[in-house]
Amino acid sequence: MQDTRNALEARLDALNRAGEETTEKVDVLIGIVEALLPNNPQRTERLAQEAYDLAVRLSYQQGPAYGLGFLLNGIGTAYHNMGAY
Amino acid sequence: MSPAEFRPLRSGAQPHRRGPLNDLGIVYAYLGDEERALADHHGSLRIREEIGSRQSQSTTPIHLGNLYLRQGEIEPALDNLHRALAIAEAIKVWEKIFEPFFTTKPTGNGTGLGLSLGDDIVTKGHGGTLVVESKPGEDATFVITLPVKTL
Repeated sequence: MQDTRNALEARLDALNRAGEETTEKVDVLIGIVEALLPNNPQRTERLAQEAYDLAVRLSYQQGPAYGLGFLLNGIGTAYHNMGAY
Repeated sequence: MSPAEFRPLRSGAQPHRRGPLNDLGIVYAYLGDEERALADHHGSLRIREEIGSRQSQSTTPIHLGNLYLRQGEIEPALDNLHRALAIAEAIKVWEKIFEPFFTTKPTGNGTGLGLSLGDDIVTKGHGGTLVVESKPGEDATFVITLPVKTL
């Protein structure tokens, strides 16, 4: 698990250095998010939001990143405000 | 509930931006009044049951709101939904711990006000930040950052 995460982190670094916005980066971000769960919720949220934003820019609807937008930006907030948690 | 009614999740935090409805969002939205199902992992199970019942009634593409799911597209969509819910669930736990009266202790054991008050003191009282990192089964680390003023 740790090896997988390290490999993903290294790949993300490489993609960031290259300045590339690709669907691979979306998948890598989601992979790191899932490797982090639930250990680092703050970084999880930041990377999940980044994955979602990039997936939208690329119109990349495969994988969970695209669907995260609704949860991150809509329903989750609504239920928080309604005190329904 | 309109977006204008949303408020920041906790003091010092920015309100979440609303994104466009997407395919998975439309699957959720289709359930309308069952939005509570979306707030937990059981939501995906209910959606699975809903789609399953429709699947057994027809071989034509399943119409969910504005989304058509053909045979072979349903399982991947639900898997993605499940993964998205797991991520959102982990984030929500963090959001909740700074809320007043949120506690994981049994009723009567703890008020759930400690972190809320601490967050208020650090962020509102001193303009600082309060950050938490934790791992299951291990101690949590709270990092308090305070601004330095020259006297």
